[in-house]
Amino acid sequence: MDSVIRVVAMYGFLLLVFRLTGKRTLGEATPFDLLLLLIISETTQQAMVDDDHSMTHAFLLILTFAVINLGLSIIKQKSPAVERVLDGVPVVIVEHGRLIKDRAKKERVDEEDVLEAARETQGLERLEQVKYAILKKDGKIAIVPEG
Amino acid sequence: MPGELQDAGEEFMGQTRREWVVQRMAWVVMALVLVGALVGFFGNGPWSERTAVSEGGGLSVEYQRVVRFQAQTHLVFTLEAEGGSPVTLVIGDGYLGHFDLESVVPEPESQLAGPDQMVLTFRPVRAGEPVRVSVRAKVEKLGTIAGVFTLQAGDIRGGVPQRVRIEQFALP
Repeated sequence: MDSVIRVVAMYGFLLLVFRLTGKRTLGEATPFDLLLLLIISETTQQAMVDDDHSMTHAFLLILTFAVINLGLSIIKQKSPAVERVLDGVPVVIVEHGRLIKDRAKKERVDEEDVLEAARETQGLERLEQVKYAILKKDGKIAIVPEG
Repeated sequence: MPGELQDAGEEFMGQTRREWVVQRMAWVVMALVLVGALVGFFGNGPWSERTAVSEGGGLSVEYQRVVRFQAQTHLVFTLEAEGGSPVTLVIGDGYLGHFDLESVVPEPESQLAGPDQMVLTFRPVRAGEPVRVSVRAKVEKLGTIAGVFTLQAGDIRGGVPQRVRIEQFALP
């Protein structure tokens, strides 16, 4: 019983923390972010495994994670409202070469981030060449070039 | 060529449809396993928590019906004392040989160990009060584990030996 409850609590907590810290936490992984993710995973593992090293416990932990993920994916497919709450929504941050500053600031994205994405994905050099830049739900920036 | 592609596509769709059926059946099984885990079929749940009481009620033991290999389990013994005299618990049948004993609380007044039994003596705090003993141990055996617990002579009520037999199952 406690195996399942531990995972449900941890899943809910991690979902809440990552949702509240914003898209860029996941999208832009600097070396320190990777280190942070390792520390988080290690702490999570300790809290869930505790001193029960049995295979049954490990199977139940994995199964519970898989079933929660599966359950939420089914719910999100049926309810776009739930999907928006759990996954967030994409945000347009550049429109016709103009950075929408208040949105970019709130999402902690700057012109340099947009230009980097524009260079990497479309080979563009200037912001004026960008029709739309969209901060996706996964924290990455999608670029639509000017016709 | 388009015909071949269509044939291959149909063949793949056939497999895909079979996979969908298997996946959805697996989802139901997975959900049922989790419900079973919550109930305690895999240890640590209400179904697994048992209490065995001796005939006469002098000895009872709370234990887990299902335990897990290399994980901690606990037993709580309630020993009825005759007046203020010490009570002696015999853990027999080599039961503790299947565990790595971690703690016995409270500490026994005396303890003796034989090849297949352990004899622990406790003194009640107040005359007539039962002694509750908590034992924590790590499971070191897979499969069925049987144990026999006895309150020793002097604590026998009305000539009935206060004895309890339990059976546990250790999952991997």
